Formats: sequence, C-alpha cells, structure tokens
Amino acid sequence: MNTCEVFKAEGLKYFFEGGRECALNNLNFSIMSGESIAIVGPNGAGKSTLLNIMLGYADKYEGVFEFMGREISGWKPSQMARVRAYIPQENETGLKLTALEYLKLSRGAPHLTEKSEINKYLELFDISYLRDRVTATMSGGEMRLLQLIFALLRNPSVVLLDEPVSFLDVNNQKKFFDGLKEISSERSDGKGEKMTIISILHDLNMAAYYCDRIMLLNKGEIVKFDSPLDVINFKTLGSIFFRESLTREVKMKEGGAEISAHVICGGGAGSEIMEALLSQGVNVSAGVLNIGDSDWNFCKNNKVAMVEEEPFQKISDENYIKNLEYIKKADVIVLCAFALGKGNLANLKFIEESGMILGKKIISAFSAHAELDFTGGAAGPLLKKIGENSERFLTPDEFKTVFARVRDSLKKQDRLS
Amino acid sequence: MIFLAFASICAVGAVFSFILGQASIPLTEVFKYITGSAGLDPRYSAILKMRLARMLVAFIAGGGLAFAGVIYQSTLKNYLADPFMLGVSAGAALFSALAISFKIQSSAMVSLFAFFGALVSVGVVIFISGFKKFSNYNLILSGIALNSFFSSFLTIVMYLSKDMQNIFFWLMGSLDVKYNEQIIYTYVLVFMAGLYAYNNSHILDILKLNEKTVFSMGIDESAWKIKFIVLSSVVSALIVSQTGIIGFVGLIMPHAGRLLIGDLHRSLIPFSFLLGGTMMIYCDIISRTAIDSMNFPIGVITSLVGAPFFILLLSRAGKQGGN
Repeated sequence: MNTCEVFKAEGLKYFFEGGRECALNNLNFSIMSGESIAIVGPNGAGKSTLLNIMLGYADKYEGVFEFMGREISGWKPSQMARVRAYIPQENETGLKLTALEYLKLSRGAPHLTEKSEINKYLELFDISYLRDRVTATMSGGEMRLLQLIFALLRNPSVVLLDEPVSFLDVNNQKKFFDGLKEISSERSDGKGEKMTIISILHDLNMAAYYCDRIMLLNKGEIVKFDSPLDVINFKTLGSIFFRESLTREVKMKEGGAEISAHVICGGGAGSEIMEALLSQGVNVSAGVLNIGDSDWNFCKNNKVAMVEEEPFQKISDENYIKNLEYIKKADVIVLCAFALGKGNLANLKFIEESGMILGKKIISAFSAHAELDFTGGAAGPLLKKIGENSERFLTPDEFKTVFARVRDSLKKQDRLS
Repeated sequence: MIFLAFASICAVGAVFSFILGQASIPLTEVFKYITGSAGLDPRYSAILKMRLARMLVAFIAGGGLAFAGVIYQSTLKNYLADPFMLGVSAGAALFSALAISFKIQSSAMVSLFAFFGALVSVGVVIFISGFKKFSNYNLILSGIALNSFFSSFLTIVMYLSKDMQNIFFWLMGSLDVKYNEQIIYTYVLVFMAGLYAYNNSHILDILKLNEKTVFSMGIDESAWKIKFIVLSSVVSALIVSQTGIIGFVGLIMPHAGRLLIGDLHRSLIPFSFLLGGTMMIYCDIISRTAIDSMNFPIGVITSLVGAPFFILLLSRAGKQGGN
C-alpha cells in the first residue's frame, strides 16, 4: 500500500474576516493517507476553522496548506469533490425526501447512483427499513447514518467529519464509526487504499478508541498531535478542558509498597480482590466506581484511592482521564469480572496498549466472562487480545496464586534492572 | 395517481369554464367545440374561442406563478418566499404605472414596460446581494428594501397621476388579456423555462442541502442559484406584465404541492404547475360568474378561495403527522 501525504500544513495561519483576531496560529503538521485522525479541543479552539480549510471552503489562509501534494487553493471544488467527502455538523433538516431519493443525489445526479449500491449500504448499517421513509420524520441518529451513507456513496478517499456523533446515543455512535471503519478496511482489501478519516470529536473516549492520532487544539494552536496514549492525560488536557490547573498528577499512596495495582471493577466484583491485594501490602487504587456501589463502599472504608462518578452517569472525560492516569502509574492492572459497558471501550483499548507498549502486567477475569460484555460485541476483539497477553483468573483464590506469580516475576525484573 | 386526479379536476374545471359566463352555453355545444364536430352554433363558436384563450391565460399564469414560487422557495431556502419577493411585482407595478400616467395607450407597450421594470428590479437586487456571495439573507433583505422603495415610488406616481383608476385596476390583476403575439411568446418561454428547470430538478433538490455539503459535492451554489432566480423571475415577469399582479398563487400553491406529493422537484415542478393552473381556472370561473355582468378582480379571488383551501390542506397534513 502506497501512503502519501494527504494534508500538509506549514506555518498555516487563519484570521477571522475583517478582524485581526487569529483563529489558527502557525500550524505545522502532516496527515498521511489511511490515517484516522481526531481533532479535539475546547470551544473556540479553531477546530471547525481548520476543517473548513481542509474542505477548501475557507480559502483565505496564510502559509502553506497542501492537499494531496498541491496547494489547496489551487484545487477546483469539482476536482476535490471527486476524492473527498464531508459531513457537516448539522443534520439535513426539513427535507421532505425519502431516504432513497435523498441518497440518489449523492453523486450530483440521480442516474449516477445504482439502487443496488444504496441497498448495500442500507443493509450494512442495518437501516433498510428507512429506505422509503421521509427524512424529515427520522431521528437524529437515523439521519446521521444516512448522511454517512450519502458521503460514502461518493467513494471518497478522504472523509471530513464535523462532530459526526455529538448528538447520537452510544449505540448509534458505535454503528457510525464501526460502519465507517468497515468500509474503509474493505476498501483497503479491494483497491489497496484505506480511507483517510478526519473528524472533530467532543468525546475523548470515542477519539481514543477509533482514531490513530489525536490533534489537540487550543486557542488556535496545536498543543499535541500524537497517539491517544500520549495525548490523553492530565498534563495536556487538564488545564484546557477542566479549567482547573489539573496539572496535579495522580499520586499513589506513598509508604514503601514495592508494587502498585489498579483494579478496574464494579458491583462488588473487586472487593475480595482488593482485600487480597491490601493484605499483601500492595498499593491499591480502583476506578471508575459509581458512588454507592459496593466496591465503592469497600474503597471508602479501606481508604483505597479511587476515581468516583455519580451513579447512573456516563463516565465524564475528567474521570476517564483520571482513571487512565492510574492505569499508567500502576505496575499491575487487574480487570475484574464486572458488567462491561460501552463507556469502557476506550479503557480496554488503553489497557491493551499499556500492556503491549508500557509492559504492564495485566491480570484479567474477562476471557471467561463473555456474557458480561454489554458492548454489542465491540469489546470482543479487545478482550481476546488482552486475554492473550494477560494472566487469567476466575475465583478470588485463583487470583491470589496468579498474583503471587506476577509479583515474583516483577521482583525478578526489578533485580535485573 | 394524484397527478391524474388533479388533471381530471383541471379538465372538469375547463369544461365548466366553457359552460359558465355571462351567457351559459349548453354542454352539448361545448363538446361539439372540443371534439371539433359539425353543427356548432357560430355564435357560440366565437364565445367559446374567447373563453379558451382566457382559460389558457389563466392556466399559464397560475401554473407559471406556482412554478416560479417553487423555485424561489427552494433556491432561497425560505418557505415564505414568493415570485414577488425579489422585486418582480414592485418593478412591474412602478414601470407600468409610469407608462399609464404617461398616457401610453397600447396595452402591449404597458406590458413591455412592466416586463422590463420587473427585470430591472430583480437585476438590482441580484447586483446588490452580489457583494456578499449572493447569500440568501442578502438576497431577501435587498428584495425587501427594493420592494418598499419601489412601492413608495408607486404611491407617489399614483398620487400625482390622473389615471389612478387605471393604475389601480392594473395592480389588481386581470385575465382580460387580448389575444396577441406577445402571449404566444409568453407561453413558449414559460414552457421552455419549465422544461429547463425540470431537466435540472436534481440541482434544486441538492440546493436544499446544507451549504457546505453542496460545496463539498463540487456544485457551485451561487451560480445555480442566480441561474434559477433569473429563470423564475423572467417567468413571473412575463406573466405579471400580461396579467398584472396576481398574489397568493405563487406563495401557496408550492406549499400545497409539497404537502401533497413531497419535495422531490422532479414531481413537484410539474405538479405545482398543474395545481396553480387548475386553481386559476376555478378562480377565473368565480370571478366571471360571482357577480352578474362584472369581472371581479382575479387577485382578490385567488386569496379568497386559496386561503381556505390551503388551511384545509394544512389541517389534514397536521393530522397525518406532518407527512
């Protein structure tokens, strides 16, 4: 597969119309074909402006900005239309067309799109029932998926997405990105080239899970443009997203414990495990726990450091990052058998990566608990990977023997280094 | 299906239009005229010929205005747009009023004045809005400004003129169009404009999408928008210059069309044309027969009949959940 530079910025600047206020200030980056990129950052960071420049829609920039090796202002809109597609932030509202009539417009004229192609996509996203329904009556999620199909029908090699899933529930978010990924990799099997996907995202969890690299923008500048593991941490995100100076780092309990473990649990699955760890003098942390949960009570009573979340809430970005910090700090990560929701997907990805990249020891109860997977199967491949690279246990007793073994190997490593 | 239904309603209207009037003509004679069979009373023949000409004017005027309304609404993405929004009526009214007060007798000349007045005002509106990429916002606001500017002028002209009655009558709209060559040109041009819009109807569909989506598809929104606005302005200018200002049809019939068959322009354009034409034929019958020996101004009838009809449609659509 030949990769090439899809976007290249050198000293890219953009000023708002009329004013001298700088929307983008001296950006330098390059994006290769086949990459999946998330642009994140607080409101007013310049995300949409950057996407508009990538779209060719905002052309009064300064500096160099190349699209596929040629200055983007030199491209004709009709030329660009052949290689890239775009989904705006807004839904297409007030259209009294059926889904089929709407999708038939995707290539500019109805006769250019075969009905069979449309059917194929509708089936892939599991929304064939929408075919003859009027778009104005559809839910935001349904319309969003249709917009994605509309873009995909154009057979783009580059897709630009402006907050594609901000108003979707987790189910549809997953449907949206899984479908997009599937088509993209299908393409790489067939024609040799994967799609380049660039999306503005608000959900760090999603960004980390689906994208290869994350570009963090703030006040018109790139704070960091790197792999999710390197971008998503308190140092880079704290002050930008949470206004507090959260440069404070997660501190494990001091006190000479030679090993620290982070336990990911919930619903009582972790209490016995943590008890076992504490009794062996291990420095324990836990997260993310809902307030009032039995594992939460255990931590409270035993003064275990943890990340807390209000009950029945989705894990907030802040807590999500906090939890990640604990994962990064710990020597051993214990994954208990708790009900796995979609909010955990990015965590699993991090656990898997931290095992591979950072060389953490993972002890997991999951390979044996597929029935606890409530992510609609999305966690399956990750769990399998984690399973292959981790020690496994079923019962708390089993855990104790497994942990003893892990502990010994860690000590051995210590002695070696 | 719904096409056929309204085509037959239109045909029934046409037959009634033949029968009714200051002198009623028996149905059998009408059929003789339509089928061209022998034995038609020559007195009737002359009247029927006149009524046919008038019917054609009504159909083209109603259909053309509805058609122009559809295009205005879709290109400006504004459901309150009508063919007169960008100054067609104001320009036509002012220029014809000027022509009338300068004692120009020939109705053909007044029409010509009206036609150019309409085009001039739309041209000015497009020119002004061109400073800002022809944004809909600018087009509509320039249109509103020009409309009120021209109507103030019109008031001054009417105030100073001795032919206020004539001007006023022209403004109310009338289907009393003398058969002439102009009207044939009007038919041909309106038909050609309709055909062009029909062939490019998918562009009208696309223009209703998000502005940036349209851009990303490589379609030049501004160029198409101006093309369509000029096209529909010419159509409405042609009609207004012949019939005077007939309101309501161009605003309401597009909506009726959307409610009945949806937004796809490939069907909406011909259907709205049919709908507008049909409505105008019925309104004409009413205007000719409601009060004995008097042609009631058609513009009044269109609103009087059209509004309740439209409210009926709206309430029905409401019950079906907005479909």
